[in-house]
Formats: sequence, C-alpha cells, structure tokens
Amino acid sequence: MRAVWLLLAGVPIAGVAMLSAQGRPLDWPFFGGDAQRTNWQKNDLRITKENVHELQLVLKRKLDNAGAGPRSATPPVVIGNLISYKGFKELGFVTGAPDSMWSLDLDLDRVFWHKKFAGSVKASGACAVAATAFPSLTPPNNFTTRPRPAVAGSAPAEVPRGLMAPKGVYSQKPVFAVSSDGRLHVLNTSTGEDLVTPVPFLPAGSKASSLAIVDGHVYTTTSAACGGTAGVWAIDLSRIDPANPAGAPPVLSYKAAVGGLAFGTDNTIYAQTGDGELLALGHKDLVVKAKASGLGAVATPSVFQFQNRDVIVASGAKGAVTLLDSNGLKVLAQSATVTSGRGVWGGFATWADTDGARWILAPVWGAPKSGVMAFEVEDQGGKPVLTQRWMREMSAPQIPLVTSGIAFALSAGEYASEDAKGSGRATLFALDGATGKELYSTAKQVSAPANWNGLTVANGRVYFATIDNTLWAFGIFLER
Amino acid sequence: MNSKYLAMALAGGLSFGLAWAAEWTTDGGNSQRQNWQRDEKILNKNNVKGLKLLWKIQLDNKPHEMHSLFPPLIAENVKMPGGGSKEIALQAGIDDNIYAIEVATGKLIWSKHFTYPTPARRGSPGDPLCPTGQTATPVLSPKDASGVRKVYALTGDGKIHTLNLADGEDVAPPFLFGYPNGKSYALNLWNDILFTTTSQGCAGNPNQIWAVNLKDPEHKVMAARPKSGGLWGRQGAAVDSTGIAWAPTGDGRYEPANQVYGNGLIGARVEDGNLNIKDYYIPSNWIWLQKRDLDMQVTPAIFEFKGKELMVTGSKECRMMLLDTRNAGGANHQTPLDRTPLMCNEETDFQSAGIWGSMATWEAANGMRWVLTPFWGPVHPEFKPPVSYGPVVHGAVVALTVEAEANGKFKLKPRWMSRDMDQAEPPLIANGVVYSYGNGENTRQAYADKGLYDFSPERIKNSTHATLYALDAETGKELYSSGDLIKSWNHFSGLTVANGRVYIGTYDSILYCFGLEGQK
Repeated sequence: MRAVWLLLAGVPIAGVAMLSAQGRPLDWPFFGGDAQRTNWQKNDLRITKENVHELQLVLKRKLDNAGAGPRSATPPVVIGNLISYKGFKELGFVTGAPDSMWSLDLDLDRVFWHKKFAGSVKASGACAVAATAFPSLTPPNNFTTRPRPAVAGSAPAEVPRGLMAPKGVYSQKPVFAVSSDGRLHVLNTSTGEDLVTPVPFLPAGSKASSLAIVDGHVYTTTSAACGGTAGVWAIDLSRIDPANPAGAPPVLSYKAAVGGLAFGTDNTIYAQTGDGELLALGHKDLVVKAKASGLGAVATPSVFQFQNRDVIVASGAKGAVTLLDSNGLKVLAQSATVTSGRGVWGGFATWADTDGARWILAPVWGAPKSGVMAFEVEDQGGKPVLTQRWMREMSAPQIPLVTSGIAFALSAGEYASEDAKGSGRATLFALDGATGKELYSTAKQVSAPANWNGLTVANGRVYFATIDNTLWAFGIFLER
Repeated sequence: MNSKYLAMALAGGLSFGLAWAAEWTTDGGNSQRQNWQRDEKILNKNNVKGLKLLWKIQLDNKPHEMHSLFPPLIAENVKMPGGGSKEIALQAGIDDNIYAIEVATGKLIWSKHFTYPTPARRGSPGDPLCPTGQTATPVLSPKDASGVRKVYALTGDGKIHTLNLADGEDVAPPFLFGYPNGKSYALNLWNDILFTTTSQGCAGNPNQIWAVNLKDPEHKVMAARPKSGGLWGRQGAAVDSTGIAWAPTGDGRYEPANQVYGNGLIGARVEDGNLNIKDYYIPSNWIWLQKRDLDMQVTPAIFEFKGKELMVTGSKECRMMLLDTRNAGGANHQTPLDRTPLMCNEETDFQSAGIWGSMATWEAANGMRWVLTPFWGPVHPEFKPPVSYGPVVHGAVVALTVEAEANGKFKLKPRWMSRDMDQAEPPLIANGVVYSYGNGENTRQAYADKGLYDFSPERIKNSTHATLYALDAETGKELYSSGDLIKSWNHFSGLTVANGRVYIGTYDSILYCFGLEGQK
C-alpha cells in the first residue's frame, strides 16, 4: 500500500499538462500579433537562430480572389489549435477583397471553409481593390487543458455576456470580419457561419484597417478615401444580443483621419493622425484623453513597457522614430531623420531580448535608401534613449516581426508609388535581431511582389501574401 | 438447418461435448494480445453463416459513463462445488460486478458486487474518459495444484481481488494495485506477474504501466512511467516472450534524455523488484501526432515470424507499424520495420477516425502470417487494398500479411478491407473466420456549435446498436451479420469466441451469446 502512494507523488494529472512551451500551440490573433502591435511573438521557440537557415516553403495557397493590388489579401490571423468538429486544427483566417474570407488548415494547406459575404458595395479605383480589414480573433483561443462539461452543483464558470456568451458549454470563440457594406460579421471559426445577423458597424464602402478585439469591444479605423468618413470606430460586443439582431447596439466613433490603432496595457487607444498628431483615446468612449502634435507622419504605433509605464512608439517626420510617454504624451526620445522619402512605412516591431534590452524595428521607405532600421532603447538615468544599431537595406520593406531574437523582414518588391503596380518579387529575410546579419533569405522562391500588410508568425511558420492573391508560408518542416 | 450444422460438425470428427478445448482467459486471448482463438473447432467458414442468438442475459450491472461490460473470459471444465464441471463465462461489469454464467444455458451461476467507501477522488461526472468503478477486464489463472481457477479482478478502489472461479469466494485477501477510480486497463498475467496500464490521469492517477508479482507476499507495486499522456490501449499491455510488457503511450513529448516517451510504445520488464523501461519506439512524426491528438493508443499484437518476435501497433493517425520486440524502432528508436500508408483519417481527426483499440494476428496453415486492424471513419482515398467490399464510410477491418523480403526486410502487405462497419472494433480470428463488429457508439467529442463537448449523456443519446460480423479470414468476404438483432451498443469492450460461441456485451448490460442452432 505504501509503495503505491510513493509512486503517486509528484505525478502530473493529465497528458496535456506535459506540453512544454515549445510544444504549446500559439495564436496570432491580430494584425501586429497583439493589441500593443508589437509584432513580437514572445513564446514561439520553434524557429531559432540555430535552425532558421532550415526554413523552407511549407505553404503556397492561391486564393480564388477577384481583388488585385497590394492589399488584395491579408496574411492570416492564426488559431494555434482549434478543437473543431473535424479535429484539432491550426487555422489561419485570411480576408480578401472584395468580401471573401478563407479559413485554411495551415498544416495541410487545405481550405477549411470559404465565406463570401453578401451585400458587397461596388466601389471604384483604389477602393474597389482595397482588402476588407484584417480579421481578428478573441485571444486566447488555444486549448490548454481539456475542459469538462459543467455538472450540477459545480461552481459556475465565468460566462461572458451578450454576443460573447457561449451557445454551449465550451463553445468556440468567434472570428470577426468586416464586409464592404460596413457590417461586422461574427463567424463560427469551425464553419464560417454567421453566429448573429451581421451588425451595422461602419459606413458602407469604408476602407477599414485591421480589427482588434480589446476588453469586449471591436475596434477599427477607416480612411476618408472610400466610405467618405475617416475615424476610429468601436462597438461593444456585450451590447449585441444574438436573440434580438434588430436591436443593433450603438457604434462609437471619433472622426479623424488616422492610421492604425495600438492599445496600451490599460487599453488606452493610440493613433496617429494625418495632421501629425498622436491621440490617446478612452477605449470605452473614444474621448480624447491626450494628444501630441508636430510628429509629421502617420504609422500604426506600438506600445511597450519601460520602467513600469507604457511608452508609445510613433512615426516622426522623415523616418524619425519617436518615443512618447503615455502619461501626457510627452516626447521622451526621437531618432535622427534618415530620409527625404516617405519615412516609416506602416508601423513598428518592438521586443526585449534575453538580456532585457528593448529594441525597435522600423521599416523606412526613403531616399536615398530604404530598409529596416534597428534601434536599441537604452536607459540613461531613467530616460529612454534611441540608439541605432543596424540597418538592412531592401526595397519596399514591410512591418517586420520578431521571434526568438530573429527579425523577419519582408521586401515587397519594387513599388514606385502606392498606386503603382508592383514588380519584381517579394523576399523574406531572417536577420539576427541584435546585429542585422542575414540568417536566411527566400531568395528567388517567391514569384510576385508582396502585399502591403505585413507578416504573421505562428508555430514555426512565417506568412505573407502576394499581389497575385497567393498566401505563402516559410517554416520549419513538420513531418506528417 | 439445425441438423445440417450438427452433421457438419460431426463430419469433422467432433461433437460439441468433445469440442471443449478452447478457453479465453484474458482480454485478447493471450498475453501477446493476438486475439486469435487457436482452438476453435466448431465454427468455421462454412457454418458461421448459420449463427443464431443462443441466449442473452440481462445483468444487473449499472453503466458508468459509457462503460458497461467487458469481453467475457471463458474457462472450460471448471469443477463445481456441488460436483460436475461447467464451462463458465466470467463477465466483468463496470459497476464493480463479476458474474459467472453457465455457457451451456446462459444462466447465472454466481455474481459478486464489490463495495467500498466512496473514494475521495474521481473523474468528473459526465466525462466519458474517467468512469468510476472496475475498468479493467479481469484475468484467469491456470488451474492450481488443487484444481482451482483463480479470477484476478481490479475493482474501482484500486484493489486486486482473488476469487475462486467456481463459486466466487475470495481465496486471498485483496491488495492494493493502483489508485481509486484510476482507470486501469485489461489485466495481463504473465509468469505470476500481473500487469495493467492507466490513462487519462483519472482521479490523479499517473499514466503508466503497473506490475505486481503475485508471488511477492508484500505485493510491492512496480511502475514504469513514460511521463506521457494516457496508456489507453484497449487491452492494456501485451507481453512478449522475455516478459517485456509493451504499451502505447498517449499524447506527449519525446525527450529521451529526460525519459519522456510520449506518443510512442514503451516496453518494460520486471527486474530485481522494479519495472524498468527496456526499450521504446517513437514515430518520427510524433510532433504531428501530438499536435493533432492522433496518439498511439493501440495495444500491440505480438507474434513469431521467421525466427523473430515481432509486433504490430497503430494510432489514430491510421497507420500500422511493424516492430521487432528485440529492437523496437532500431538504433534511433524511430525506425519501424515497416509502416503502412495512411489507411483512413484523411481529415486527421482525433475523434471518430483512425485506429482504436487493439490489433490481431494469426498464422494460416500455409505459414502465412496475417495481421489485422480495425479503423473508424472513411477509408483514405489513396488506400486501395486489392480486395474490398464497397464504400467504407464508417469504418472497416483491414487484413495484411507480413512479408519477408530477400533483402532481409519485412513488409506489411494489404490483402483485403472489409465491408463498411459502423466503427469497426478490434477483430478476433478463430478457425479461418474473422469476427468483428460495428460498435454503434456515438464517438463524437466536438461539434461545430459547441466546440469540445465530450459528454457521456450526449453520446449515449446518439448511439445506436452494435452489429456483429463474421468474415472470411483470407478474403474478408462477409459470412454473417447480426443485422439489428443486437439492440444496444458498446464502448471500449470487445468480442470473445470459444467453443462455437461468440460473445458480445452491450451498454444496457446484456451479454449476447451467438452460436449454431441446437448447440449445447
């Protein structure tokens, strides 16, 4: 008897608990990887500096998409493991213009489902080929422990309200997308079915940016170029009643020409405007809490923690990188201007290396040269100082991302202007995050220019889309 | 009809009375889990189409979650207390019940219900993975010097009970061999060593192979723990001729430096009072298996072939692997002698697809070695055995032969695939006939609207009924089907065949006995 109990000491309860960080499936739920738009995959140990040279083409999926141009299809947002009605799946959700959405089995390079949104709004010119917004998931989606159905007498689990209230005991969290008629779609990740009647959200024909789900709200921005109204938009998911689809909840908006959104750790919304401002908005009312002016450029900010406070990375004029204190939006540091060209393109990546040093990557389209610039944020007497460490030249660089100390940078090809048809080919580079040294390149494997919506990394694979509506992934080979 | 079959049997030089020669003393028929009834002499390819329901008995066993009855064990010529001898079917039920049934009549001889204080820990109610109670098929001993056949049964409180098969009386005090409500699998008795395996971490139980030496008065409990998911091979561990117990390991990682052996097959032997892992096989695609929850969970079948002792196993991925028990997986532990292509589960689903349960193997009179596997779900579109019997959507049995090639290598060669079965269960071979059944169980664990929802009441509600099939072992041709004669389904149970009778228990705690009409 005693022998039995000795044997039982220290035994893990379930096999699932055996999963180490290396094996745990990871999500990439938003554009930028998280609400702070860090473009940093913190926990994926599958790709390392030691094995990154082994990357290979692991997925090439031509999408049946009518759109064209550099925003015709997005890279995926990723559920690392969905326990679907057809099994455990790593799914990627891709939107394409006009009004298409795909769910892809990323391991098998198969379409899991395809959704064509009804009620397309006809548009012309650039608006006709603009992708619908980057979809968004509600993190975390991953399976970590095997859930058990509730039984009588057991403590009730936390039950989300309204739309987020599960239909069953362990319903899956939905994927969100916006169609060209401005409606918000809340879709079953397993089937693509609308879980509720699509909800009016944006002006029809809006050119929306990426969606984000924060604190039970969906957020996005629109530009004035298409739907005619530029602004920040929000809708409270708890106010959407699946049983009463006609009772559409109020939509919050803040009218301004802004780029993409980033969220502070307290959920404050940060956005840069076309007037060179950085705004801080309350996330539940979209009321301006603070603003900084004179930045002179637009990009999607990133947010990181420095000395226990949020610091916002924003774009300054001529490629300058600006750090601002979340408390009052005072400028803490600014790098030198580096270009007479377009400047920072799209947004940033920021990560902390294993020594705790904070890094910022900025893609710069400029003259005389374009490329990815790396800055280290140094603490000098409690004040952050930006020190440029390296720059890797490349044409049309997109927002980079970082995993395991590796900076992935995507050269989109050759673009004379935003309206120009791209030429050449996209090239994905893996660079040592500390030195910029090239560790891997896709060289000539990609046959078309890349879209302008960045990269996704999840579970050992790096994804991007090209203008011919092809989704590419380079990753570590997984034997099946 | 009746006299015809009697005449056929007699023409074979047998009478039913004289034909008593077959037993089934452990799950899978023997320690190697071959699921081969070598001694069957009554049922054959020619007469099996005449199977009838000889009797059925409603037992007072209460199902726990989806479990109910386990495959019955058969002992012939058991000397009874009042004189005479009987052929007895020893039936175990999940509700800590043991029943002894007279095979000739289907009448209950004795029954025993074990009681104990309710253990403090148990699985969640409604969870099919962790039922309470007796989850392991018992095992019968050989006759001892006094002619007593012992029953070893592991009850839900984790204790081994030793009973006299003739009357159900205790012949030794119970002793602890596990953890209450720990979900043990079929007991295996080899040279006085009793083995079991555990899975799903039920009630905090570790996932491991367990062993106890029945000759040890202290009954020291020994264990080999692969630090993996559950060891949920339906028939527990299979034991080779050197005493190594082989058991599949569920989802988990492979880290040999840390003795972590997830998603593989481990072999452990009792040495100097300890159960030591001696060898293991880990599929080279174990990361994929783990990612998709396609774990290795199939009790292997061990057999001799061309001077070697080989084994076959499989996984939910739906491949079979052929391994050498003396060197499983080769030098790197990841190279099987052969591995089949995917036979099913194109969708790579963790539920309702792939190989579940155990394997079977038999040797034909011409020396040809056959191995068989069941699978659930649709056949893989690229798997095209030379003989098949219509579309396979819900499951089937596949038969292969082991081929020795001139270069010294071994291959598994598909020979036939059976008709569609509603989730084919582990087959059993007897006298040139393969028996299998579609379990009729609802095995769905996840839904489009609810996500993961593996809930016993839901599955029970949507289950149908089992169907027994008899197939020609060399061609797979259907020889018999029970149609809708069986009214309920079963979960993690199995078949037994001995002396012209085929047994199957169902969720509603009815034991069915099929045989030839007029058989006594």
